[in-house]
Amino acid sequence: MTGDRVGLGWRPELAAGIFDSLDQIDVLEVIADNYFDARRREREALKMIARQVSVQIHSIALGLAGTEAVSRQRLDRVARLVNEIEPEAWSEHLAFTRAGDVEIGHLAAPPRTEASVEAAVQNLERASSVVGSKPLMENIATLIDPPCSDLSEPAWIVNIMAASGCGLLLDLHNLYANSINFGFDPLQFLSSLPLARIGGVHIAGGQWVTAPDGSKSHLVDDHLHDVSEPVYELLRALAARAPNPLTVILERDGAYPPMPALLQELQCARDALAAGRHRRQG
Amino acid sequence: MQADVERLLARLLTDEAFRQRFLAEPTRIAREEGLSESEARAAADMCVQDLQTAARSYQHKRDSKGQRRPRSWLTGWFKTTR
Repeated sequence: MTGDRVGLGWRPELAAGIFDSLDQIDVLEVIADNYFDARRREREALKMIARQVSVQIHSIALGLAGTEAVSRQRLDRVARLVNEIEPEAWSEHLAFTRAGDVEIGHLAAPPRTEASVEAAVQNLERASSVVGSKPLMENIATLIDPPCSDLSEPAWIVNIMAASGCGLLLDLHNLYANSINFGFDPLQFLSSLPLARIGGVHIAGGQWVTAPDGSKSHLVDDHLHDVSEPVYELLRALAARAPNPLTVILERDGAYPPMPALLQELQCARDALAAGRHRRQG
Repeated sequence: MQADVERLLARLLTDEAFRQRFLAEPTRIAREEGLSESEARAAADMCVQDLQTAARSYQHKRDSKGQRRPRSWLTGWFKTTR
């Protein structure tokens, strides 16, 4: 199997290192929200980058899986950026980020119900219409098992993918963290997904935190730590089963190691993909 | 309704005083927020430790975003390449 690619989340702090290493980076993923208010020269620079390397746009605050209709103003900003940069794909999260007059400020998992499937599909239709293409939709990490859910997470994802026609951006660390925090088998979860619809993969690291009363620990997806071996193993398992080429993005949002260490993580991802593809052939 | 449950979750993740009131009387507070009887019971069954850790994690993420000044990568890049 050829065509698998490995890339990195574009972060200003990594700019110099990324430019020096473009021969080892197949794809860059740019956080859309960081460019909504960017000066013209910043956006021009982003266009210049997009001419040198494949770019994907990752939006983080539309709240497309919430009951509330997605804001037209927010969609227009994504559409403007997508029109300007002409990325090969854009993506968002299977999450809600606001409810009523409450801005959560981060991604939250809604109750997994037919109602939230329907709401997500309506928002995705609106988003696709305004932006001009369907987003890839990412599974999120959650520390709360959303109450009032009557669908399992994979069933909920499958239903949204099927009804919206959107592809899946499979975040393997989110999957791993949820499997640890809620005690399910990540490989079984993987088997439940429409693997042919996977249009992208995220890998990242996290850390263990203890509840304030000290009684329970959770694995938190913080993007501040190295990718752990179980996530690479999930990538191997995915590569062994997924029928299409995979594009893997390493997400890192702080505590940046030296660039060679990040490049080494990209190499580990390439190795995991190759090992998985080898398993598939074997 | 779904929207009421989402709003309850949003408040629990962002408003510490509300969260403490909920933890003291979860079913009553959930009902006050418009949840049906069965929804209120489901909300009351949420794992307290999960909720507390999630709320702390969300607060940390909001604080981190607030502290992060928008930075021109061009400026930073020029500095490092000079």
